[in-house]
Formats: sequence, structure tokens, C-alpha cells
Amino acid sequence: MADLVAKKVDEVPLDPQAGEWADATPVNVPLSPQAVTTPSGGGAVTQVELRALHSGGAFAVRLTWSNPTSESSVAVRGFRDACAVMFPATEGPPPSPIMGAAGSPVLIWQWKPDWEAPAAAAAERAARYPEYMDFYDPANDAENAQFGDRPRPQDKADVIVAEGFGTVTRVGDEELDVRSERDGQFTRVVFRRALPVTAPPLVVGAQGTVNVAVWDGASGERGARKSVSLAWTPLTLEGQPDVPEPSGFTGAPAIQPQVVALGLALLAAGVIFAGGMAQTSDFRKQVEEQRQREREARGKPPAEPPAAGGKVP
Amino acid sequence: MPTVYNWQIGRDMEYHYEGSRPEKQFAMVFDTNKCIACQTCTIACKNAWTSGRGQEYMFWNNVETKPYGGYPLGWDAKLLEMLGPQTWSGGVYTGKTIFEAAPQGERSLGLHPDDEDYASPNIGEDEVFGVVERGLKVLTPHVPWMYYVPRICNHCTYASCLASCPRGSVYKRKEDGIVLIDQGRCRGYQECVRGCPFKKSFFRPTSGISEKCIGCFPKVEQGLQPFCVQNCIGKIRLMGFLHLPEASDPTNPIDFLVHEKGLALPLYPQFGLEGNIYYIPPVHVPPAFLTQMFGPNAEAAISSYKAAANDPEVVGLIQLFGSTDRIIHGFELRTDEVVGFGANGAEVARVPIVEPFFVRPEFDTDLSVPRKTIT
Repeated sequence: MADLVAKKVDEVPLDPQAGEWADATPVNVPLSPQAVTTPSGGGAVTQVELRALHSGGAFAVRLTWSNPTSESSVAVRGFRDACAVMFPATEGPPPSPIMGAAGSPVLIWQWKPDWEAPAAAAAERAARYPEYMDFYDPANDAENAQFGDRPRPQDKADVIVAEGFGTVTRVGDEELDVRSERDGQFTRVVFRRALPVTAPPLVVGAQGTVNVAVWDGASGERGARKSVSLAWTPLTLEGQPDVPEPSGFTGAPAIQPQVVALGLALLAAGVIFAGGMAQTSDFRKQVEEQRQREREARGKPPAEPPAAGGKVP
Repeated sequence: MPTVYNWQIGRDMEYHYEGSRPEKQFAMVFDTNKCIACQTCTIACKNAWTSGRGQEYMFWNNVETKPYGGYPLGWDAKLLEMLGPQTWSGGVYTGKTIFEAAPQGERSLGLHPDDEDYASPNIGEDEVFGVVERGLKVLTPHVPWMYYVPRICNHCTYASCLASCPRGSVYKRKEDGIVLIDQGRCRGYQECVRGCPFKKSFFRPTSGISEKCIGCFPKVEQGLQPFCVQNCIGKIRLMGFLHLPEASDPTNPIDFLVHEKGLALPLYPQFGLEGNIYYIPPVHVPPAFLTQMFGPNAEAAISSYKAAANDPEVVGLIQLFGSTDRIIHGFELRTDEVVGFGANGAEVARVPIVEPFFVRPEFDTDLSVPRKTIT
């Protein structure tokens, strides 16, 4: 498998047609129908092209696949197109490339067209299911009717942690930005987020890994019925590490203290998560707290050095 | 795949999960002989639970006319065709359940209806099977025939919606066996819509997730029967709790009708779900059709029902249908009354076995007028 190299650029674009993408080296990832667990299915999309960019401060990945029939909203027996990228959320060897496994979680970003553009999807739905009567009904105020599968309006994409099949748990991440575009029969989707994007963090100059899945709505693909890559794709952020290796921190890669903090928090959370689904809310809380700290740290002078670490440049 | 015991088909069968029975099992008995398809149950349910946007064609409770009616369109005929001809041997089902007939890579044999299939909830209403010819006499079974089937979620012991959900979003409550979809966990894959043979899981396009009959659990928790039962003007419904055949309690009204008397039968037991809504089959319908729909005991149930006039316990118990909003856990026959008891043994209903009957003279001497026959 060819390595996906995130090309260094000054600013990472969100626009799938931006000129910077032309310079990023494409990697074509073959996809297979999901056949490991039930229900099985997928296979409508056989290949997806990946390109990646980074600026040192932000990272973006673009997926392009052939999608002759664009489906952007849901209906009874009607499904939408979707795609997702997945990163390991645990130290050590990468977890199972198909949804991770108990004790070795993965982090997933999933694009859904109706999340990216809710107004357009609502219009499509209204055309299909016209309102036959205008009246106030308390049933419309129920929480499930208000939000359904999209409980946080600020999220543009679904951010999920999983530890194997059927364990997908939404953690949310409003900093993840996403934009899609139709280009003839192709659909292009860009995910962009400030670094670090995951834990263990993607580090400039070091090798990470990524996996992808694509759903073709017109073929009835959803959930476990999807086209998925059965192997991780190595991912490298082009360039030399920005930060010199701190003395007294032997053997460890040179990483920023807030990255260490996020890594440790997610690793710890991963261990708690392994305790069972009952811990899910704790995990989510911890991730949210960590993100809050991250946001605060960005607006403030550099944080205090971690107790276990060496000096901070 | 784990093996579980399904008493309705008299044998072990394959299921996606290990068998785990609830402490109590929510169950209902519907007397189809008394149903007039007035749809009061349907509207009671709709007003209570599914009156919002995206639920316009969602009926957790519906009443359809057999043989031509079906909501969603052809839900049972299509699945029976997919399953193909199957066999019973004595009381044991020797064919394949929808779990055993699952195609490669699936958890059950399922039909996924289209939007349009939900668009005619009352199609086939009052249409009879057979030709009404000149000189036709009323015979039993009827020559042209039809009957009404009220339907809600079967809150199955081996629920297929539950088995089909890849995320475990559907669960069966330990305390009463009611099957629910966790609205926070559902991601709208519609696998339960496809997996449920009775088509009682529904996708709601406005929210992007699925919903189903909740057995009116907030009422059941307070010892009350669901809205569809309370509002049934024909008094054809009784909700209670069902035991296993070997633990049958003759004073429990549901056990009495299902296990003791064999009067009430499960809907399509051959699907293998051990559903918990039981039907007293219509006496006027050809037995072959009823056997397909309610299993091999249909003819015996009809014979028992016809003989019930001489069985004061059955007559008395049927009077308790629709007699109270509270759940009846036990019943007892008194001289000319039948009494229903709640969970703690307190009386919740008392009705005469035979309604008082008055005959008035044709001529009213007080008013000096002849009386007209009115209804």
C-alpha cells in the first residue's frame, strides 16, 4: 500500500477544488464489501482516492470517489451517501482496521450530506413528505423529534469512538470542519481540523495511519453495509518535526505538551472505555473537558510543563 | 448461533442472542370475533404517541381486513412467499423460522417496505374473499369471508427487531418484557424495520431514526392497561402478563385463555419470534387460512370458542375485557359475577356474567302509548 503523504502548505483549504490539492500526491485505496459481521453488504464503491495536506497547525484529508447517484437525505428505505476516515485512538500497534476492537479504540470522522447542509436536506425531505396540515402538536417538541440522529446542531460531521462492531459512540467535535462537492459523477469530501487530530497524535515527520469507508445511499448502504478498506493506509505529515527533542525525555518523539496531555487523556479514557458501554458518558465527558482545555490553552501563553516531561522549548 | 426454546413452535431454534426471559411478560389477547374495525384503538394510539411531523403514516396500532388488507402493503403475504411452504408435525414446527432462513450475511429473513407501502393503511377494508353469488346462504365457515385483525407490536420474546439491530439499540425490558428502541442510540440504519416480520418498527424521516410501539409503558408502570385497550369500544382487548406454559396460573386471565383453554393463539408462530399478542380466531373463516395465520391449533381454538357458552369461566372472563383501565392479574368466578384483581390482590373490576335482561310490555299503560322498538 502506498503511503499517504500530507503535503505541507501554508494554509490548509476546506474547498475540495482548491489548487493546493492538485499538488498533493493521490493514493488510491481499494474498497471491499463489509463481510466480517452481520448484516454484511456494501461494495458499490470499489475505490477511493485520498489526498492530504497540512500546515503544521491544521490537517485536512480529501476523499474522492465515483458516485453516479447522489443521495443526500434519508427516507423510508432511502439512504444517504456517506464517507468516513478512521484513526487509531490507542498507542502501540494499530487496532483492527475494521472498527477497532475492545481495548483498542478508533476515532472516526463521518461525513453525512444532511449534516453538512441541513437546510438543503430539509427542503428535499419536505418535498418528499409534504406537510399536510399546519398545526401545533406537542409530539413535535419531543427530544427525539427535535434532534433525532443529530443531537448537536454545531457539529458538521459525526465524530465517533468505536471499539469494535456495534460500539459506535458519538463524542462530538465542533472543531472538525467538512465540505463536500459534486464534480461530475465524483463526490469529493474534505475533512479539516486543527492539529492534533487524534490520540496518539498525528505528528509532523512521524508515521501515522488512516482507514476509510464509503457508503452509497442509492445501493441501500448504511451502517455495517458499506465499502471498506481492509487495511490501514500509512499516513505521514510532510516535513521535519517543528520542535527539537527535549532533553531528559529519551526515546520519546518530540511532541508538544498539550499533545502529550491529549494523548494521555484519550489513552486513559480508552482504558476506561474498555470497561464497558456504561463508561461511555465518562469517556465523552473527558474528551469534552480535554477539548475545552485545548481551546483555553490556545488563547493563553504556553501551558506549564507536564510534571513527567522535560523542559519545554 | 445460540439456541433458544420457543414453546409456540414446540422446539429449540436459532436466535442471534442467548435466551433471557423477562421477569414478567407483557401480553394481550384480542378477540377477533368481536372486532368491528372501528379504528378507535388506532386513533387512541395515534393521538397519544404518533401525531408529530414525520409520523403521518406511522401507525403503531392498526386494524386491517384479512385476507386483502395489510399495513404496510402485503407485509405478511410477501414474507410468507419469501419463506416458502413450510410444515408442522403435530404441535412441532418442522419448517424454518425467519432466523433459520436468514440469507448469508443477514441475521433474519426480512422484507424492507417502500414509502408507498405505508401510504394506504386501510387498503382492502371490508373486501371479502370469494364470490357473492345469487341464492347464497349463510354457512359456517362463510363462503365469502373476511375478518379484522387488530395489530400492535408483539413485544416478542425473540424479537427480530432486537436481533437485527447491529448496534444493540433495541432492548427488551427485564421488568415487563416490553421491547423498546433507545432513541439516543439509534442511528437510523432501518435494520429493525427490515427485520421485524410484523413491520412494527417504523423509520421517521424527519428525525432520521426509528420508532416503535412502546406498549404504553408509562401506563403499564402504573398498573394501567395501554391506550389501545382502554379505548376499545368493542371490549375485544385484554392486557396482562403471561407465564410460560409449564408455569401457567389458571387464575391469570392471559394464562387461562392462552395455556389453560388454548383459545388465544399467537400471530404467525412459524416466524419463530414467540410474539406475545394472542388472537381468538374468527369462527366463520375457513380453517386453512387460520392455520396459516395462527398455527396448527386454530381449529381446536374455534371449537373451544363455540363451546364456550357452556363454560362459565370463559364467559365470565370475556366479560372482564374492557371492564377496567387497570391491569387484571387474577380473576375469580362468583355466583353470578366475575371479579378481577390487581397486582396486590385488590379488586379492580366486578361485572355480571350475564347482563340483566328486562322485558317491557308492548303497551305503556301509564302513558297510554304503544312502545316502539328502538335501539
